[in-house]
Amino acid sequence: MTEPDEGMTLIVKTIGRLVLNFILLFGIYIILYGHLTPGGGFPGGVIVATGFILLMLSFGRRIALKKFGDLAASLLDNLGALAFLIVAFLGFVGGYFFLNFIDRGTPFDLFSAGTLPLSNIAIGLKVSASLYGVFVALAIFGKAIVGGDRTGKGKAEGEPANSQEQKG
Amino acid sequence: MVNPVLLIAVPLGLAFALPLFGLISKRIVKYIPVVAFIFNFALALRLIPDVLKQAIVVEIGGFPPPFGINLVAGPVGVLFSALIALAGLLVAVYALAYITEGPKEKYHMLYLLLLAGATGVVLTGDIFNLFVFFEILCISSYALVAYIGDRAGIESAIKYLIQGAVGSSFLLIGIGLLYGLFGTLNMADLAQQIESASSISVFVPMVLIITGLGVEAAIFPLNAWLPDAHSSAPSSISAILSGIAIEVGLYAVVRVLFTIFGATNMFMFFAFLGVLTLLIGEMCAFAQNNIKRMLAYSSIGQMGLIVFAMAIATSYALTGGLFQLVSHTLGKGLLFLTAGYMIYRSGSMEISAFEGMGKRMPLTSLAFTIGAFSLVGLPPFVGFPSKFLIVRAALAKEEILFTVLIGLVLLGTVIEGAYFFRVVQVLYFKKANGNSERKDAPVAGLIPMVVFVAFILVMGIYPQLVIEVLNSAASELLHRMEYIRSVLG
Repeated sequence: MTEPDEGMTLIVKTIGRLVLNFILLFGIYIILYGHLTPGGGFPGGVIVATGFILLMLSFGRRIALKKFGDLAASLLDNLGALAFLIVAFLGFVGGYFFLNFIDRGTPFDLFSAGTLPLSNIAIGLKVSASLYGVFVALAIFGKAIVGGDRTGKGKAEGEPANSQEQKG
Repeated sequence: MVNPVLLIAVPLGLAFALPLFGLISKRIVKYIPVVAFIFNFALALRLIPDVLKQAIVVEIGGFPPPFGINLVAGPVGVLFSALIALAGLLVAVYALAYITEGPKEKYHMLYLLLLAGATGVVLTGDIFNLFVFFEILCISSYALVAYIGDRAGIESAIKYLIQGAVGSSFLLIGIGLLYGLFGTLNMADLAQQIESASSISVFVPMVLIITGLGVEAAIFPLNAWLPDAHSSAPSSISAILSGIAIEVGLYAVVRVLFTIFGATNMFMFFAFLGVLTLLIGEMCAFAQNNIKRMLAYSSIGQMGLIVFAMAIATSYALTGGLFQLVSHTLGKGLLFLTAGYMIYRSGSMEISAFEGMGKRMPLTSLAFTIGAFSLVGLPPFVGFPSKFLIVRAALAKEEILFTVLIGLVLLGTVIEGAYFFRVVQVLYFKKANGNSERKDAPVAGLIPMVVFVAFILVMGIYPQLVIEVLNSAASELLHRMEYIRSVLG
């Protein structure tokens, strides 16, 4: 017997295990090269999030939440947003909010463009964690409603019996 | 140097830092919004003397205006920021004792995000940036409406979500069309170039943008979401939705109409729409037995009055309209806060359940009465000078049509008086049946009420305190060339 929590079949698990690392790598690549190639923090973050969503779909809720729990997701979400704001605040060094205050370097180098890569990393963190968090919330919320109904019925049937016993 | 960008950045940063504070101690979380809005209110007050001389234009990232995103902290922007910070502060204090159940951390985070979005809308000088902040405001308010998590809350949040999302799509399409026409998103730059395009190609994006913003501003045919959303949210959130969110929507409508499009030929239409909104709102409010639905419909009526005042488009009328915005925020905020505890103590939203509340909760009832009298427009309270200015501006127009319209507005005020006095009568002149234990709202609930009452009284007796800011705000809206010059130099 397979419980719904245990994920999908062996085929999906094997392929998922093979593909997952490449998805995460590609997402990180898109984030890091955001200032040089099309893409950036948001699309890269979405790709990273889909990697973790694939993990949850193929291996089930329990294993995915062990790797990347919802508390960690919400923390990373907030840390990403805070990091982005801190980069923006550091611009006050030069007098402007969001000022690109680091040396821009040579164009088309990986380490160039000042604060842009930092902002991209921050957004990548925020987007990946929050999209994954949204998925987890929807998945668990859906489960809670279905599961809650079942347990709710069980309690509703059990309670009158208990109270009758107490009366007796 | 004090920078207006902090008005947005500090609440936003604290909103994201709030779960981290929550890891240290669950108890300090609810004080963070209070701290944030004390800061914002102080900063906005500090900025007022500067912006009265000249609007502060903030360049983000050091790019000069037509190229980068910029903030325009003019008299209008700072007036609204101060109002948002004041209402935000008082309601945050109220929430200290009022919000005791549910995911409290998320409540305070969304609350900060909502008001950061509202402040962003009123300060930004870039129309796409306005859309983004508007979405922050709307999405956090959808979530907050459903905060209690009961059936009514979720249903009305979904209604609000659907209508708000349709409105936002209209807004986005309108902005896209404008960008296609002019290749710029800067509001001052758009305003400068708007005359160079044919009027019909500008008319379509204008209608789309006004419709989109009108959903949030609760202008008549677009306000079906409002009574449900305002009545099923927690009372603290109702106060903010009614006192801040729809007024920010209205600000956006006015800013787009006056500054970007300079659409003087549309004003007659808006005058009719305003009076229609007012009459429908007040008549619906009159028919309600549920106190929060009554207050929500009364907000629609007040928005109609303000739209009418703005559509007269003289400097008197704009001053009056902005003053009415201020007095509505103070009055309706106070009414929702007091109603929150009266509902809590009586256990029902029906007006008839409040019989004898004048004895059971004397201070709360007194505050409710003052808020109601102020909204109706009785003298010593702030509603009187604001309504008086609007009436005077409409009569000064010396056109038959406006005289007729202001007659209808006064009819609306009479209806307003009728349903508010009915509640006051129930509070004081009906005997309580059953429970007559005397127990007022807790201190954290009474403090914001007292402060609201103080503002209502002080501004009602000395309107000169705010009239200078309101005058220069009105002239900022009325003289679009000066706005363009101050941004583009």
